[in-house]
Amino acid sequence: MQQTLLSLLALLIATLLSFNQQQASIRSQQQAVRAEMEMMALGVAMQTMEVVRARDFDAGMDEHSRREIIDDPKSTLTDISNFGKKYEKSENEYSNSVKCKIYYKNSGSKCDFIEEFDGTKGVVPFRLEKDEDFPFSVTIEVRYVDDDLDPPTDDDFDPPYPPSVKTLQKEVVISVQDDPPNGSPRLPEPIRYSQVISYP
Amino acid sequence: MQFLYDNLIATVVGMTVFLILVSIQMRATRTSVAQSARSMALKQAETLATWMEQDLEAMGRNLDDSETVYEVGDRTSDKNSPTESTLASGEALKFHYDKKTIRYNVEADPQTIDGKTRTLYEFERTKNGASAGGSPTTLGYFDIRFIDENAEPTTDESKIRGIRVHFSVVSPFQNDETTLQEIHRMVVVPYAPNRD
Repeated sequence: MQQTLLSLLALLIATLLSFNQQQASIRSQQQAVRAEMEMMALGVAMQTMEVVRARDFDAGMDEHSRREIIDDPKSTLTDISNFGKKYEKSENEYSNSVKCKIYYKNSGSKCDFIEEFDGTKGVVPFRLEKDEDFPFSVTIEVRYVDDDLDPPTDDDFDPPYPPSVKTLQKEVVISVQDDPPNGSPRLPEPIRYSQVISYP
Repeated sequence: MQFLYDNLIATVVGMTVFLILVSIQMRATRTSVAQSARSMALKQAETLATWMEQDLEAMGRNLDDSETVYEVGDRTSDKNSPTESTLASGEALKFHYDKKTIRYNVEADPQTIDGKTRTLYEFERTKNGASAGGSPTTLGYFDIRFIDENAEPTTDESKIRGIRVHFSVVSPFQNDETTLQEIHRMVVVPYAPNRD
């Protein structure tokens, strides 16, 4: 009887060891897939950043000279309340919220200025091979930052900073999350990629 | 032998436990080999992406009037590549910046992976004619495209706004425990040449 119990115990321990090893292997594989997904998302974010960077710095550049903008950004640059809206030069006003085109195969409006991309969302694919795209959902935020790359403050106001404070630096923050057609996302949270674009 | 027959059940149980432990050990060895191979591939991909990013961002900086910004070599079709092609004809790309001439040379080399023949590529970088970096023959594909303001590939130099590189690194040793046999990377940098 004792021998039988001991043999059962030995089998149980060996089985548990094997099971634990399989669990560790599964976790390792999930971690590898997640890490690869992060790098793919980073590639998509870099590409989207270049799409945004290809635009002019601000709609104020259409109405004011370079010198005027540098000397007085508060009067010449776009108010933050108009970020994400399309600037209609012919009418000198801002339309409603615009969805900018961030990939050549996507639909969307042609945006000419960086601040128009604020609030834009879209799906950008990471191509693995022919006809095998892996989609990522992309969200873009644009905001003014000061020389320390922080949201700017005006000495006359308390934080949060008021919409009237404008600077010659815009921070573009791109959030990327995998968007599989079937199943849930593999990334636990979106990756965020940001760059500061200065004028001039 | 008499001893084994007298304790047959104990023998069977003992052999079962022994076999389970041996299979655990073998799986651990295979996993260790796969993780080492993946670590090597990741390191190669990271190194290649880092200095390629630095190189291509500087493309066209401080050019002389007589220097062209870049020259792209011929491509061969490659179904494994996201662009369906690979730069693989010796001199894949030549470009200039800061009075330097940078060349990317890519050579094809058929190899057998997991019982199947596949063409892999070796990458070599030269600076002013001298060797300055490269990779072993583990690239699955390598292509550089110039993109416009909507990330669409273009050859019109007036519309180029960025440079996009697609490459992959194939894991050098593969077995049943290999999670990802190929690591894919996409690097995009701005295109901003200027002349002295």
